[in-house]
Amino acid sequence: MHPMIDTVWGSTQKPVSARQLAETLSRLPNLAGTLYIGYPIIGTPEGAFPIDALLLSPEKGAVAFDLVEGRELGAFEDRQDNLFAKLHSKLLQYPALVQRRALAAPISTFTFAPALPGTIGTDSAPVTDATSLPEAIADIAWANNASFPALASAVQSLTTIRKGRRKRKIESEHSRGAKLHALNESIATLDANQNAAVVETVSGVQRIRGLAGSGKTIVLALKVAYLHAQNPEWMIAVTFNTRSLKGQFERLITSFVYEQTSEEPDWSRIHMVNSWGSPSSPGIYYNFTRDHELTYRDFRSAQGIFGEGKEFSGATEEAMNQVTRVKAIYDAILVDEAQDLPSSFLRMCYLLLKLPHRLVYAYDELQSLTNASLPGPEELFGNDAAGNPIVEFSAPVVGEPRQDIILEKCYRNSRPVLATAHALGFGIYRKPDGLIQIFEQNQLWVDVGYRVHDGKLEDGQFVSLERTSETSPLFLENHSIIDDIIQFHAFQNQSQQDEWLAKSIIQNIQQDELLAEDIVVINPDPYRTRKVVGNARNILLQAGINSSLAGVSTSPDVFFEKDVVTFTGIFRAKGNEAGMVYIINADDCFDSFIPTTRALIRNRLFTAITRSKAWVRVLGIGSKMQALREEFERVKERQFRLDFDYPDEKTKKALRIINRDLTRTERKRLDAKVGDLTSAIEALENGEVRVEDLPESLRRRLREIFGQ
Amino acid sequence: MNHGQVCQQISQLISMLVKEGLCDHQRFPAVRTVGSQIQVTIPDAPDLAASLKGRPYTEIYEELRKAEAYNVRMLDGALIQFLFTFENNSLTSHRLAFFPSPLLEMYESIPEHYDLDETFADMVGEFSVKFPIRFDYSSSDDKHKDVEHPKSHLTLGQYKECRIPVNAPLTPFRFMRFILRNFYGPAYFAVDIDAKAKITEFPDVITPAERGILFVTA
Repeated sequence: MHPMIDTVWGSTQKPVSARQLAETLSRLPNLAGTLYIGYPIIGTPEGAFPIDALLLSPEKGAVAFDLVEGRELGAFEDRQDNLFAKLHSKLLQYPALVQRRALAAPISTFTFAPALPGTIGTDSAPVTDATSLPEAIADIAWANNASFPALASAVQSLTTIRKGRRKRKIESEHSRGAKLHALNESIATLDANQNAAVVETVSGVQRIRGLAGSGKTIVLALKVAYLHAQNPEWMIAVTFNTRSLKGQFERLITSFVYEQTSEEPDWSRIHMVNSWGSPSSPGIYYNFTRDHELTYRDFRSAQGIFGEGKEFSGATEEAMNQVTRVKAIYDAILVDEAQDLPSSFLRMCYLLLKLPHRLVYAYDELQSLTNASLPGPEELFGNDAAGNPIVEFSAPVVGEPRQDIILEKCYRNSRPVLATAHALGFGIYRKPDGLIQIFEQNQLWVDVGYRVHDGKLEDGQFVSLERTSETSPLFLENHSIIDDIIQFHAFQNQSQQDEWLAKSIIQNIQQDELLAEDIVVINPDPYRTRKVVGNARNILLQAGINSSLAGVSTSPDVFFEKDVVTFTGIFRAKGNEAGMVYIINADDCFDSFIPTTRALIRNRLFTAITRSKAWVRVLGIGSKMQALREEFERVKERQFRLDFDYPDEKTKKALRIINRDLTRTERKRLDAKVGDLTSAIEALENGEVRVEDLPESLRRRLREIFGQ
Repeated sequence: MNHGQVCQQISQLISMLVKEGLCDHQRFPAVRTVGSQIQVTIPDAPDLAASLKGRPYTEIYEELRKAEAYNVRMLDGALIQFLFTFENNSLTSHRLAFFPSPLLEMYESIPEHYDLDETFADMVGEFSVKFPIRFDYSSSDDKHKDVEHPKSHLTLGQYKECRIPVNAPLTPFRFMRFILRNFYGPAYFAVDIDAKAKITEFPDVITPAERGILFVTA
């Protein structure tokens, strides 16, 4: 196969000429590289300067295109001069691309006017069409192309994503503080796939999936900035469920828009809103009810009417049933953490969008803490009047923007941390009962960055899966030995655990050069967090280390407050990360009385572990913690590979039943019923009730149920 | 009580609230000497009282929260301040203030949502009216005007002339007992503050005329 160019489809006002350019270039034999449509945008003193299209090729350097959509050629020489000047001055800012005072990569410019065949232009400003372009490209030669990687990375990472956190004082170059600092510096640019995910703009629904730490939130934020820079007149909404993400979004959008346009974002065009909202803070659902004069439910009233766990789905569905004609106000809506939002909410977003319904939603399959992973787009958005799915993902086509993007590289968690989180989340090495949940589609393992080390990734077959240095970069784990990166500790009782936790945090701050805000303590059971963290916080306070408990009172803009160790329940930990993560009372995540709750509590453990950027300590109490620690030991023994027999269809079906979607109330009821049955069986065992005491008909029914 | 004892009481209170999970963020009191005065105050926090006079309550609350000008931020966002001044080992003034969050529901009305850390618990449609509550004390005879400006008094909301006489200055425990008892009903008994509050008190400063109108006992 001859080399081919990849096309990254951004947002463009010139779709016809762009498509012809892409087709023309993709037919050229021996041309390798990437063609960007509607990208990059260069910030200049006069504002945003969008480039119509840019080809990056190891043989040709940077080839910038001025696209002419119709038959009006206009001042093409001026435009090409300008194009060259802007790109040249931008690239000169990268030391790796400069030799003495000259740019080490060639820049060529062309006007591409497919509707004006035969136009030639001038020597310094050539005009091409579909016939003459191949020849013109063939004439460009770049012999000494050693600086191509630098060129590619300069174009792909037009922004740095370094965190605007406090400067740290490092005295020992081997301290945790120094290591964390180095890690933060390494994760400062986007990779090519993330960059493509930012730019690729679909005229319709787009889904972005990826693991925790694969950069979904950053990609979404940069996408907002990109769309805003490219289409300043668009009304764009970005929505999420964790309040604490708002500050992060705002920072990223501001800095990216600034870099692309040299201007502040126009916040009247970008609505950064909660998914729910209230009269005091805007939100998608609240605004929907307000704009259409419908009943608004706040959390409390929604719970009263629709029941526990159905608050948001009930409220959004009610509003959509009441509304007669929806006023579509947005050109694009981007949803983060969609796995924690009901599908009815995504349908509401869809309704609020003008044609062609540009909805982008990002989610993490395994991070769902509410036990309800999202169905596929066909099911999610339902059918139209004719019975056809409203949204359908077509198979990926070369030269078209991707509707379904998977970010398979994980930049937050190191390989041992991520593999442990997966192994425990799925129960790969759980004894004696094994798997708790599994991906329905086996291929998903590969999509999220695993590779088959041994065996076969097929139903009923043994398989050994491992992460590669490609999908889990080594610099994430090379800073410390594995036994320091991840530890499990079992304690006799709560106070032992609290003492150890406090001592360890004091050591982190006083000797390891970590800042208090590098540390987060997560309690996985959301319903007990307030009560169970009090003692540890108090011990720290007495030692002069301040802490905060992330809760409703926390400002919507910050998660990490200055100079405090953050304690948090699992809900508010989501979307956030920290260098040092302590998980307390992890024994709560080992097992549950009824099987249906098991996936839920293991997901919490998964989420908690995957908050860690560098180190994680999993602490807990008693025999359950002991057992969890042993389960971890098995992961470690297998060198953080996942070795197991892939379930066959029958087992998958059983897991599906166990993990079916239940509300908290339904789960409680189930819990009680199973409890009744347990005590009935105990009564039979200890002779309190004799089998002969049971009515004949009941005995027959029991035989029928258990006989199978 | 001297400044050391007051300081210790505030620290004890903070510990107690943290242990019970009632407090989300906290700052231990700092002791500062200014001339002959010893102040028990909030570390590094600017005194915003004067600059915020006459501003809408939502703004006042927001400014205080951002500047971390409080000793305690309660789980429902309410901010609590303890400021005491001593001279020659005796109390010369105090300002004890309670600023409930203007936008969050009070703990008392939905304790289970706060305890459970519901994700959308802060999505509140209708608000109850919230207003600040302050206990001020000044030992100065110059400032004191019988009945009109009692030495120790309670101010409700932002009413300029609201000064309900209080029989004596308040200890930190007695102030907190008032707050918990009235605004954090479900937690009041859990912390058992009543017994602790009874042990210490400041001597009476109320005048007979002030006793003649509606007054409050510390």
